[in-house]
Order: sequence, then structure tokens, then C-alpha cells
Amino acid sequence: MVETVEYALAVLLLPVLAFGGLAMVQRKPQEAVFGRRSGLRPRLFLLLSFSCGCLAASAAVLVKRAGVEFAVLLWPLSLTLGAASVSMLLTYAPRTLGSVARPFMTLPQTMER
Amino acid sequence: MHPEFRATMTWLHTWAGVILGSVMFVMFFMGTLSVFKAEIDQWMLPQARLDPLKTPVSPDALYDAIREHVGDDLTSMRIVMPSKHFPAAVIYVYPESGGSRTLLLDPNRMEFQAPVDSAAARSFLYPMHYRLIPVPYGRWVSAVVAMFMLAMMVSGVVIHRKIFVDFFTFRPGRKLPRSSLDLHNLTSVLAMPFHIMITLTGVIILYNLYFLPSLNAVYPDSERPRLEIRHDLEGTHDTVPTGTANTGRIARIEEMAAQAGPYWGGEKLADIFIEHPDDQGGVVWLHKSLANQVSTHDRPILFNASTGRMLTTPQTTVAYTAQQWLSGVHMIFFDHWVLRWLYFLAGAAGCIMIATGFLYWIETRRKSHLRNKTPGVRIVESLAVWSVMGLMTATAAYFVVNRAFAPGLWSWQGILKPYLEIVVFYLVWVSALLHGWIRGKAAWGEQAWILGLLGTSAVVLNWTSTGDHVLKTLLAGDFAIAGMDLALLAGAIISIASARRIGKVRRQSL
Repeated sequence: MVETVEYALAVLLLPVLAFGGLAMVQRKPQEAVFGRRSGLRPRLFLLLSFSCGCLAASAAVLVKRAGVEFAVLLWPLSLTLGAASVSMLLTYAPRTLGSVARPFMTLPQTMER
Repeated sequence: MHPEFRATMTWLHTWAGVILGSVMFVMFFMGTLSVFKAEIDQWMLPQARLDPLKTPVSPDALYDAIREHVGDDLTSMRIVMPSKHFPAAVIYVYPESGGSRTLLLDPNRMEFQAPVDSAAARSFLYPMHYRLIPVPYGRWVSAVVAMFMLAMMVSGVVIHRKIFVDFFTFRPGRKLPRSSLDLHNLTSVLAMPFHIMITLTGVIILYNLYFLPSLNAVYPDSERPRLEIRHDLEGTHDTVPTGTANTGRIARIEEMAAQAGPYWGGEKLADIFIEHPDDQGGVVWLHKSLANQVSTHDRPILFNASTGRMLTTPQTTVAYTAQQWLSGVHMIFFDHWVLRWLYFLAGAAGCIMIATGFLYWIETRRKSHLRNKTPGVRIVESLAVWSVMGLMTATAAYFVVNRAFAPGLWSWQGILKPYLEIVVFYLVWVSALLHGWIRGKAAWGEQAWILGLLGTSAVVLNWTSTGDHVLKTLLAGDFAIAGMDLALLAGAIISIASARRIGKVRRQSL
């Protein structure tokens, strides 16, 4: 059971969060998630740090669970699965990424005033 | 980037894809299925659906049971020990009278099972991945196509102008050329690490095909230079019988395995090859299990069969060790369920990439070719229908025939069941080409309907012929059979949904 949870975390959840964060850096995915007129801008440093952190955590869990020999194969394939899942979410259910991505977005100062 | 360079790469990518796409799809599809070849084998051979091994089985007990069963007409035999993925012991017997037999043995009861009556995945679908059709030079064709696949990946990156901007883009609601190009880009870019890794390692596995002239130079007097280099790299050699009869039985295999233990780092015995067991010069090869390692190097150790003395220890060069690791990355003999599923999904992405590449080419040229009365689209479309829908339909028909003719029905009209399955596979596949040529665009939807019906029939026939339905196998924890049934059902549902959608689009366009 612990094994399954760890793999679900490292192979699916963390890469999805990482690529979800990276997608929010781009204009088109941002518009798909928050709408065209939201005016939200990504907090780049926070988003990129979060995404890199998730990727590193995924690699660490895989190395711990499967060993380096298998982790070097598992990790790139997990990234593919994560990126593909984000792509499907952006296509069919973009708003689901909104609640996760919202803390990493901000309104420009001019709009806040 | 120079526009002329990009144009050249576009030309290469387009035409290599159009000409070789069919072969690439066969390789990708069969490779993807081969990820679960042990599970498919269990589904296709109900006599191999056994309880998991309760206690470790003694190789000596297996050998004794086999000797009792096959008698003295024996040159050599191979015993594949039961594993988590395949609970039966598989025995290949090579009699002195020639030919070979494959036997299945239930290791819990030490009982031989019904004869193997299907080529299943291990002997048909998997070899098709690297040998295509059973002709002498099939491997050469797949080797050349693998090289082109690498070239297409590089050219694909060069011609994809918005590789990062369109990283997550998929617009299924747009017209077919746009949505198929989106899906082509998505599956190729996101799964690129896998595609590069699997193609490059595929090329590396076939090194002795590419460099055959150099092998001939190293072994000028040998008729089998590829075998010679393998012997030299592994530190192994052919054995010659002495002609002196071995009066007693062979030495205990368990003791040989105990001697091999220190060289195997605690791994279990997986594969035994016994040559000339009735001769004093007879030998036993022991190979370790590959379940917990990526490399395919199973560190074979040679023993004298009558004395049990170790004759050679595993010897490998650094280059060979590296080559075997890379081969292992491709062949996935390891036992890691998460990684196997990831390979399967990435392989499926490769299939989608090739199919959507075809669709994009066809749809962007359909009107102009029709207007100019050029046969290009018709030819490519029938090839695409044949290689994509036709191959999947033929594979589903292969499964249906396997389950329609129960194990007791060994022969039908004088045709043995394994041959019948293969004949039906090729008949359906060739028919798909003709159907694609005659029906053109309509063939996609029509074959999707047939595929859906065949997939469903295979699941129903498995239930009626063995009593194993999805719920039963799921509740019993028999995930190999349940997984196969569920995969067939999922494939059938996707096919029928696609067929309905294609039909709807066609009706709207009329």
C-alpha cells in the first residue's frame, strides 16, 4: 500500500503539479484556466521554484523507492505522464487547475489600485 | 535557422513518415503489446493459468519429471523456471529425432499441462516487433527503419516551430488536419524522451547487423560470426559431446546453483539449459533471474552435467556490459509493474503519433489530390488503414480465433490451431488493405466497428471457453487475465466510440 501511494505521488501527482505550474507561465494555458480577462499574472519565481521543487521531489521519491537504476527510467517517463495529464486537463477540464495555481498568480499593481 | 535547412528537414520528415510509417506502426504496436507478453500468453493459453507458486520449486525435481515424461530421445532441453508473471514452468525439449516440443508444467502439482496450442504473444506478436513478417531479412528491414525513426525525431524537432508555445496544446474541436497535427505534436514532444530512448536502444540491440562486415573481418573463417562474437563477449563457447555415455543421472542442479550464487549477487536461478545430458561431456548452463535488474546480462555459468563442476565463470567486457544494460532498457525483462505500465502508455503514445502523422498528411492533401486526380492520397490512405486499423483488427481476430477454438479442439479441417490463428491474422490484415483501397475514407470507421465487435467477442469467448469473466478474475486477484479482458473491452469501447464519431462527421459533411 505504501509502495502504491509513493508511486502515485512520484509518478503522477508531483509531475502533474510541476507541469501545471510550468503551464501557468505560458499565456494560452493561463487564459484557459482563468479566462482571458482575469488580468492575473504569474509570480514567476514562486511558480518556477514550486515546479522545480516538485520535479526534484518526484526524482527523490523514485530513487528512494526504486533505486537509481530504475529511477533513471521511471523519472523521464513520469514527466511524460505528468505533462500529458496537464495537457488533457487544460483541454477538457482547465478550471480544475485554477484552485492549485491561484496562489501563484497575482494581479498587476495598476489593476490592484 | 536557415529556411532551406528547415525545408529539407520537412521533406525528410514527411516522406520518410509516409513511406515507412506503416512499418513503424507495426514495430510500435507490437512492441507495445510485448510489454505484457507474459500476461497475453496466460490469456491465450488457459492451461498456463495456474495458482501462484506456493513454495520454491526444485530444479532437480523439474528435471526428473521432464526426463520421466520425455524419455531418452533427447539432445538438449531448456527449462524456464516459473515466475510471478508466468506461473508455469516452460520446457523446450529438443529430441535427437529433430524438431522441438514446448511443454508446460504446473510446479505446484508437478503435472504436465495440455499441449501448447498457440503461438500466443511470445512466439508470434513479440517476434513481429523486430522481425516484421517471417522472412529471412525481416530484421534488416526493422534495423533500417529504426535508423530512419531516429532521423525523423531529429527532423521533427527542427521543423516544429512552436515546440514550447504549443507544448500543452490540443484542440480536439478543430478540423481534422489541425486536431490530428496537435495530437501528433503532443504525443511526439511529450513522449520524446521515451521515443529517443527506445529507438536508440533498438538500434544498439541490432549492432551485429549493422556491423556485420566488421564481424566477418574479425571471424573470417566462421559461418556464424554473430554467435562467435557473443561467445567471446560472454566468455562462453559451444560444447561438443565426448561420445562416452553418462551412466548416472546428471549432478544436482541445486548444488550448481549454489556455486553460482556468489557470482549472481543473491539473485535466483531463472533459466536452465542442458545439453547432451546422457553424455559425459554434457553441460548445464545456468542463468540468473533478470527480475530485479535493468540489464539483460544474466551471467550464464557453465557446469559439467555429470560431475557438477563449474567450467566457466561469467566474464564480460565493459562494452558488453553497457550494451546489455541498454538492451535491457529496451527489452524490459525486469519485474517492475509501474515501469511496465509507463512503457505501455508511452508505446501507445508512439502509435498515436504515427497514426495522426498519417491522418495529417492525408487530410491536408485530400482535396487537391481529388481535384488533380492524383492517386497519392488513395494509396497512402489504404496503406494507413491497413497498417493502423488493419493491424489492430487482425490482432483482435487472432485473439478471437484463439478463444473460439478451445484447447481440446486441437485440429480443425487438418489445420493445427496455431497455424489457423496465424493464417486468420494475415487474412484479416490483407483484407484490411483491400478494404482500405476500395472504401477509402469510409474504411476507417468501418474497420473501427469491426475492431470494436472483435474486441468484445474476444472477452465473451474467453468467458464462455474458460469460465473466467472479468469480475471473477478481478475478485480472484488474477490481474493478468482481468487486465487483458479490461484492455480488450477498453479498446472495443474506444473503437466503437470512434466509429460513431467518424460516422457522424461523415453524415454532416454529406
